[in-house]
Amino acid sequence: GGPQRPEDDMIRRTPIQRVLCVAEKNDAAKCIAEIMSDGRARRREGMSKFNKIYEYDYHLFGQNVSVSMTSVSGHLLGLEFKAPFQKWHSCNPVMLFDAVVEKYCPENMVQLKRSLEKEVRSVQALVIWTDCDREERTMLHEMEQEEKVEFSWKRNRLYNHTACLVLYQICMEDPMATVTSVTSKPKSKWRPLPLDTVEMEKLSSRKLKINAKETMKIAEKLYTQGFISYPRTETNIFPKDLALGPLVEHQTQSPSWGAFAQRVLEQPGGPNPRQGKKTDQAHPPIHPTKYGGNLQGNEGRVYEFIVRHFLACVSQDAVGQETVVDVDIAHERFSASGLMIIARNYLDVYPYDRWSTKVIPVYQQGSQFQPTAIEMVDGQTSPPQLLTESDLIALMEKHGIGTDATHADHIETIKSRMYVGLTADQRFLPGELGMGLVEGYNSMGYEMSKPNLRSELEADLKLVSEGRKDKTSVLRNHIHKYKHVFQESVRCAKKLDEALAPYLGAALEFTEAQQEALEV
Amino acid sequence: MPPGTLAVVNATMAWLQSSLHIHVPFAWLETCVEWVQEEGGGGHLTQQQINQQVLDQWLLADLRDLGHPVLPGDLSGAQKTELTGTFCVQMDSLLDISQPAYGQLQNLRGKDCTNEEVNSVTQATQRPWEARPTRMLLLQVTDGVQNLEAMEYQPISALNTSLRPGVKLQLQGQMVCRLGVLLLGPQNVKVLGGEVEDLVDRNNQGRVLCGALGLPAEEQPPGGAEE
Ligand SMILES: [Mg+2]
Repeated sequence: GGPQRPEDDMIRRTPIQRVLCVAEKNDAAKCIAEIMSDGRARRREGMSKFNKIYEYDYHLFGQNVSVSMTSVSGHLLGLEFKAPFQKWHSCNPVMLFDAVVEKYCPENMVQLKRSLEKEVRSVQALVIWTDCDREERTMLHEMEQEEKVEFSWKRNRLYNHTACLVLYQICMEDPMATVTSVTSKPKSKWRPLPLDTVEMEKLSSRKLKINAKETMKIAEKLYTQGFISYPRTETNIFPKDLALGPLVEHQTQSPSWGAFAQRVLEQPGGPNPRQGKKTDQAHPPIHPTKYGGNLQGNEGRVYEFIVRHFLACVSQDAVGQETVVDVDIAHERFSASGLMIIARNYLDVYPYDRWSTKVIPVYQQGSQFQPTAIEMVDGQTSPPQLLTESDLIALMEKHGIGTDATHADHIETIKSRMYVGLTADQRFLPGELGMGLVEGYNSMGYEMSKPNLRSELEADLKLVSEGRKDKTSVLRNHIHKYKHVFQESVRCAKKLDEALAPYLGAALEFTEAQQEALEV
Repeated sequence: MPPGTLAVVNATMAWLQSSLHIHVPFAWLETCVEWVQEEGGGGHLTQQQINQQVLDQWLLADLRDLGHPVLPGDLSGAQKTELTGTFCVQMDSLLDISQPAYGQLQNLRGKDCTNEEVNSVTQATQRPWEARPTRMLLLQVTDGVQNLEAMEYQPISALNTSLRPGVKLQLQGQMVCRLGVLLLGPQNVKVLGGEVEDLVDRNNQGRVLCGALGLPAEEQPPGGAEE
C-alpha cells in the first residue's frame, strides 16, 4: 500500500503549507510518521485519546510542508435505525427488515470525529493512508527465509506409529533421493523504472533511511557538482535521443559496480531501460552523469543508489521459476516448493531489492542427492483444539466472510454478546448462550448457525463491487432471505427456548398476546 | 464316514488347494462335505456343486474355528522378512490411517466437519497443489492362528472401508513384512469375499473408529450391521 495522492491539478491551484495525513490506526500513523520524519516526529494529543497526532516537516508536492499525521480507529460512522426503531421492544423486530437506517457517529467515535474536524480546518491537502492488500500475514512468512530446503512427505502423516516407522525404516535403509519431477512456471521480478523525484525520495527513505528533505538537499548538491542529472523530475521514461551507452560506460571504472556496467554494455542490444508512463516534458529521469568515486557519507550513499538504480533499470529483469520439486526415496514421495532463481540479472547490482520468496536451488529431473536428514516427527492425535483468533479468521476466509478490515469486528461481536469467552491461552470457549443458540438453531432444522447465509451475502457484495451484480436487487434479495429466516425462527422460537433451557434455565412464559405479536 | 465320502473330501481338498490355494484341516472339510451333502438331500450333488458350497461355507467361517495356520511362523517377531507364495487369510477389520479417525467418524455419521481441517496453520501451509494424502488402509488379518497387520503400501483398488469384517483375502506374490506389518500392493491382494457374522457387528467402521479414538462403542448407527 501507499498514500493515495490527491489529484495533481488540485495541488497546483492552492499553495500547500500544511498537510493532514490520516492512517487506519494509531499504530500505523506512528510508524509512518517515524519513517517519513526519520524519527524526528513530535507527538501531541488530539481530542481522542487513542489517536495521537504526529507532526513533522516534509518535502511534498515540490515544496516544504508541515505534516500532521493522525489516524482513525475502524469506522467513524455507524449505521443505526431511526429513532422509533432503536430500542429493544420498541417495535416488533420483524419490522426492522423494512425500516430505514441512517448514518451516525457512535459515542466512542465522537471525540475522534471532532479531532479530525479541527485538524482538517488548517490544512490544504489531505492524504489518506490505507493498505490496499490482504498480504500482511503472508509477508510475515516471507521474512523467515531459510537456507535449507525442506521436503514434506506426500503422505503428510499417518495416524499409526508402527506403519509410519515401517516406512521410515524403508527410507533410512536406502536414503538416496531421486528427483522425479520439477514443475515450474516462469516468474520474473521486474527491474526498477527510471527514477523520478518522488520515487527517489520514497526509496531513499525506505532503503537508505535518509529522509526526503535530506535526500533532496544531497541530490541538489550532486547535481550542481555535475554527478547527476537534474533531480526534480516527474519523468520516468528515458528520451530516445539520450545516449545511454556513454553514461553506462562512465561507471565501468567502479570497483563495486564496474563489472556490472560492463555486462550491461555487452548485453544484446546494449542498455535497455524499462520505461514508465510519466513525463513532465522537461527533464529526463534522474541518472548519473559522471563517475564519482570519492564521494563520502550520505552523499556517497545517495549517489551510489542513483547509479545502481540507473544500471538496474537499463539491465534485465530477474528470471526465476516458481517450482514444485518432487523426490522419491525408496518409493516414498516427498515434495518441496519455492522459487528457483535462474538469472539474478538486475538483482546483482541492486541490493535494495530482494526476491522475497522461499528460494530453493535448481533441481534437475532424474538427479540424485543424499538428504542431510530424514526425520520422523511424533505427534499426538488429539481432539481438535478450541479455536484461536487466527484459526477463526482462517475459517472466515475459507467461507468468504469478512475482510481483513472487518474480521476483528465480527470477533468482537461474538465476544461482547457473550457467545464465547476466552481461555487463559486465548482460545475461544463457547459460552452457554452461544452453545444454546447453535443447538437451538440446529434443532429448528435449518442452518442459521452455519456460515452459508452470510457468505452468500458477502459473495454478492463482492459481485456488486465488481459491477457484476445490481446493488438494489442484491439488497432486496438478501433482506428477503434474512426476513424469511427470521420469521421461521420466530415460529420455532419454542425450540430455541428448549435448547437454551439446559444452559440458562427455563424460559419465562410468554403471554398469548406477546406470542401473537411475534408471529407476523 | 459313508463309503465314497472320503473320495469326495479328497477331491474337494485338491480343488480348494489347486484353484484358490485354500488350505483347510481335513476334519473340518469332512464335516463340511457331510453337511453339504445332507442339506442337498444326499448324493445328488455333483463334485462341482459340492466344491462351490464348501467354498461358500469357508468364506463365511471364522478361520479361528479352523485353527489351520498357513502363514510362515512368527512373522510379528521378525524385524524384516520376505515371504513369497499364496496365502488365504481373513481380514478382521480395517482402518484408514491416512485420515484422522475423528473426521472419519463424523463423516460416517453424516456430519460435515470440513471446518476442523482449517486452522491458521493449515491455511498457511496447505497449498492448492497439495492433494489429499493417499489413502492407507491398515488391515487386521489372521490365518486363524497368527494375527498380524497388513498395510496398503501402494493403493489397492480392490480394498475399501465397506468390506465386510471377516472377508477372506488371497495374499500372493512377493511381500515384505516389517515390524509385524505386511506391506501390500495391488498385485498382492485378491478379495475372495465372505464375512464372519460375529465380526460384522463387532468390527463395523463406527466401532473401529470409536476404538481408535478410545471412545465407548457407539449405539448401532443407522444402516449398520443389523438391518
Ligand atoms: Mg486494511
